[in-house]
Amino acid sequence: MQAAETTLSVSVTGPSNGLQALHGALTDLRGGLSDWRVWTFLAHHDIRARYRRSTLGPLWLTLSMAIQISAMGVVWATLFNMEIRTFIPYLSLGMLIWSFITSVVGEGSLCFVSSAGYITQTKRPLTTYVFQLVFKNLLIAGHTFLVYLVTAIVFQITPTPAMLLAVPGVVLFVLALAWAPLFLGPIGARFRDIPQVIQSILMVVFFITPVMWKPDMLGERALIAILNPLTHLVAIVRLPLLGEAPSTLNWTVALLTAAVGWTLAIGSFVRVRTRIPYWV
Amino acid sequence: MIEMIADSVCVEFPIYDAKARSLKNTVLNLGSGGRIQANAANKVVVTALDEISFSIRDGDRLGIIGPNGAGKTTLLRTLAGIYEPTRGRVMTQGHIAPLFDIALGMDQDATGYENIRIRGLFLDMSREEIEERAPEIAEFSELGPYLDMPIRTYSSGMRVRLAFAIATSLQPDILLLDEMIGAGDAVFLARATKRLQDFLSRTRILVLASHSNEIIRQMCNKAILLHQGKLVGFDTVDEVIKAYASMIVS
Repeated sequence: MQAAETTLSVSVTGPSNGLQALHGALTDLRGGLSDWRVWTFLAHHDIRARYRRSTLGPLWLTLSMAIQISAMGVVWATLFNMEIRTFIPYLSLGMLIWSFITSVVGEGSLCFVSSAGYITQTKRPLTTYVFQLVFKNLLIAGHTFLVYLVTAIVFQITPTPAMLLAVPGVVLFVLALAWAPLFLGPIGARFRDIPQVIQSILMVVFFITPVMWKPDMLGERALIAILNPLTHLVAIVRLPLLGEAPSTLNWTVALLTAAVGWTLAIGSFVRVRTRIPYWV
Repeated sequence: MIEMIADSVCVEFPIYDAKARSLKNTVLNLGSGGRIQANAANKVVVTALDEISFSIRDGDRLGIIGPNGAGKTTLLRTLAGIYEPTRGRVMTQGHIAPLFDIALGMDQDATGYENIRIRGLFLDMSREEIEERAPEIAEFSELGPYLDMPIRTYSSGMRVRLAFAIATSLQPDILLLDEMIGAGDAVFLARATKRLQDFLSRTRILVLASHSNEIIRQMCNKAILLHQGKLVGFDTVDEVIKAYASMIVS
């Protein structure tokens, strides 16, 4: 009948019942994953655009992180009464991990708004823009990771088998955060003051997350750190890279964060997916 | 079989600014904008498309005409699947290529050749298709050695030539255009007319919104007339243009 047709795409758009909405959301997610050529390009493009025609290009990311670490490292090590030798690698990992968190969550609420041009002019899966943001931050983390590598070499961190745990650690870390733009993006598109609110919240959360300090420094008040899921997310990346193994609690909380987060994100995405182009 | 069917399509935009309540009172019944009303939840809602129904198939070239604010762009986006209708549905068989911004995604710092790949990516071309068509795109654009230079070094005319060359290398099932490509660059259009015609003849269905009756006459075999979100005419091009003219006069 249709011998000449290769693939014929049939699309029906219109208000959906619950099951159709779920199918729509999952199709979008699948489509977003297979759209990797587009979001890897967009992520590279974002970074290149920022450092267009500057002398160092994206290496400025590395340099600025290095300067930050050097300055903060010396001062805070003294304040916390810690050895610079152990503190600086600890701090450089903390800062790079925190940058990732802050960007994925903070810019996450803007991930659809900032792609409004693409969303209203082309038909692409909306999750494309979520993956774009996550991948962009992975690229940035790759650049700033160099700073940690240098400190690890300079301060002679001995490789241990526990370092292999960094691989599952990073994977779980990314999974446990990648749902945030999917959940916050629609909210940020619908309520334009939310991105600001989230920035303010992140500033506060920074102080109760052991980025610059160690959880055990809190002594009796260690519970503050333990109840904070970010403590554990930071730990599953940082500890292996410092040669130690994360605790069972770290892994459990990270897994839970990923599970609950994605359930939340997909649940809301099912409901709001078709409204997002109207909101941006 | 390539076809596109709109079935009682409605698109409603909620207005979330609280002050819109009084806006509603002053702006209601304004000229040609989408009709504005309060819905049951006391939200102000703009009905951009109201019960639009039509069907077109392989070989149709549909023009969309109407005053500003009538809903042409909204309809195109809805047909593209960018907006899902609030009521009704759009059923399509065939791959839809919305070509609303001919240069979408172009990277100023990338070379002409790289931008061919980039645009191909956004136009859903496969890697093989892009590599296959790159030489003839390059040739038609007549940009020669400039193709190895970043496009920020191009004049605006050169950028248009490149974007146009890429866009017209597509083989779309269904092409949606919002205003004619390169509108305003009459000299270039004259030179590119043959390529454009070849391109459009390869298109199975064309939907084109335009303010230019001339372009609609040239390109389309059917037309719909939109007014305040409603479909007030669906007929041959000549009939609809006549209806539009009499609407303007009245």
